[in-house]
Formats: sequence, structure tokens, C-alpha cells
Amino acid sequence: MIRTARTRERSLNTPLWPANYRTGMWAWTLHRISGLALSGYLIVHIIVISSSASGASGMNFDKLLAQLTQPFFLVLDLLLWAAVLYHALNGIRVLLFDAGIGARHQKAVFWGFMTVAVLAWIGGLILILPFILGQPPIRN
Amino acid sequence: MATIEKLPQHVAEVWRPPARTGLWSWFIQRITGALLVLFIIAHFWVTHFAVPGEEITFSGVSSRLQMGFFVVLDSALLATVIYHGLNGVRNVIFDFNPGPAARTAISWVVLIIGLITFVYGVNALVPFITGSPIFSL
Repeated sequence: MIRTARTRERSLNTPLWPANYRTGMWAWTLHRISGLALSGYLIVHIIVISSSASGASGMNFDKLLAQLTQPFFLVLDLLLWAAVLYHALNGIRVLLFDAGIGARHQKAVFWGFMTVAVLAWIGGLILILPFILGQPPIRN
Repeated sequence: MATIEKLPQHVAEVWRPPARTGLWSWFIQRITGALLVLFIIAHFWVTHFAVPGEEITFSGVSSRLQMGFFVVLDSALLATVIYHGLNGVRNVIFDFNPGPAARTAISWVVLIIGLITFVYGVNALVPFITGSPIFSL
């Protein structure tokens, strides 16, 4: 189909335009964005671990881990945790709908799963915060 | 194509035939997605919680990877996550509707990146098992 000025103009006021997105469309969009972010993280994660373990980066594994447990990276880990939780829980929601379960109640299912995500994220925050603040629990 | 008349006007104006990414790739994306929920929980548990208070060290990971089970688990996670991640990126690119030739090219590029990433990832496990990598770059 040829895109004319008319269709471009018209397409601004449709459900396909972000300002008109509703729950399901935002869920889909965020799934894409978090998926791309996680794919980027995956590549970086593999390269960083691999190059330190194989000695290619000139930094050995233990030194790398000492770096990665600095507060700055722990804060990034909380972002990662949020992306993982969103993508995993929304992914389970998609799987359920594909299996024919719950699609009629997709908004309620979405907000239910997001409640689980927020609670799990807060759980992660509680576990990781002492390390960010430099007061890790006593180790044996 | 017969369905195009039935679409609402605002959808029909921007609608194009969907990219033929394949039913199998869709299905495997679902399977790997479900597997990843389990694998990532296992990965997280093994890395951070299995031994309370343990820091992640080369020797710690090394002694774990002497057990074949964890080598299989990590390799399975690696293969699954690479498929799911890169096929997901491919799906996103295909939603921007590249032409058939571009789709084929993109699929090959993604496949090659996936294979390289898998080999690179396995090479990250080897030093923990044998003490030195297969290659170093």
C-alpha cells in the first residue's frame, strides 16, 4: 500500500498511535523494549564473563566480580531485575493467552502479574540494598 | 489477503501482509520462553543463593562446573537464551516489514551471530572446567 499524506495524517488518530495505546498495546510495546534491552544485556554479559575467564580482557574473573559488586553495578542490577521480571511475567501472560486461558480478562491478568512483578522487585531491592549501602549481611 | 476488507478502516490503511517468520519459530519462541523462566530461576539460585554467604569466585564456579550436570545446565541456558533473544530481535526487525530478500539476509545474519555467541559462551565455561580456554579473544 502506498502511504499518502492522507493516511499518514489519519494514522495519527488511531489505536496504532502511542497516545491512543491502551493496556494490551502498552504491554506489547514494553515487552518489545524490555526484550531488546535484555538481548543487549545478554551479549554484554557473555562477552564480559567470557573475556575475563579466558584472560582476553587482561582482567581476571575474581577482579571482574569485585568490580561488578560495586554499588553502581548493583543499581544497574536492579534495573535488570525489573526488565527480567516484566518480560518474564508478561511472557507468561502471553503464553496463557496462547493456550486459551484468561484472554477475556487480559487487563486484570496484566495488573495481577504486574503486582507480582512489583512485589518480587521489592524483594530483590530488600536483598540487594544492604550491599549498595555497603553493609552486607555477615558472611561465614 | 481476503481478510483485508474486513479490517477496520484505520487498520486497513496501514496493514501489510505479515512477515512469514514461520510457525515453528513462533512455537519454539514460546517453548524457549517457558524454559527460560525455569532456567533463569535455576541460574539465579545456583549463582547467588545455593551456598549462603558465598561470594562468586573463579574457584567456586570452577568446583561447581566439575559436575557435568551444571555444564549441561549452563549450556542449555546459553543455547535457549541465545535462540529466544536473537529470534526476538529478528521478530522486532520483521515487524518493520523488510522485503523478502532482506528477511532472508537478516535471518542468516541473526543465525550466524547466534552461533558465534554460542561458541563464545561455551568458551567462557571451558576455563572453569579445564583451567584454560579453547581460544582467547
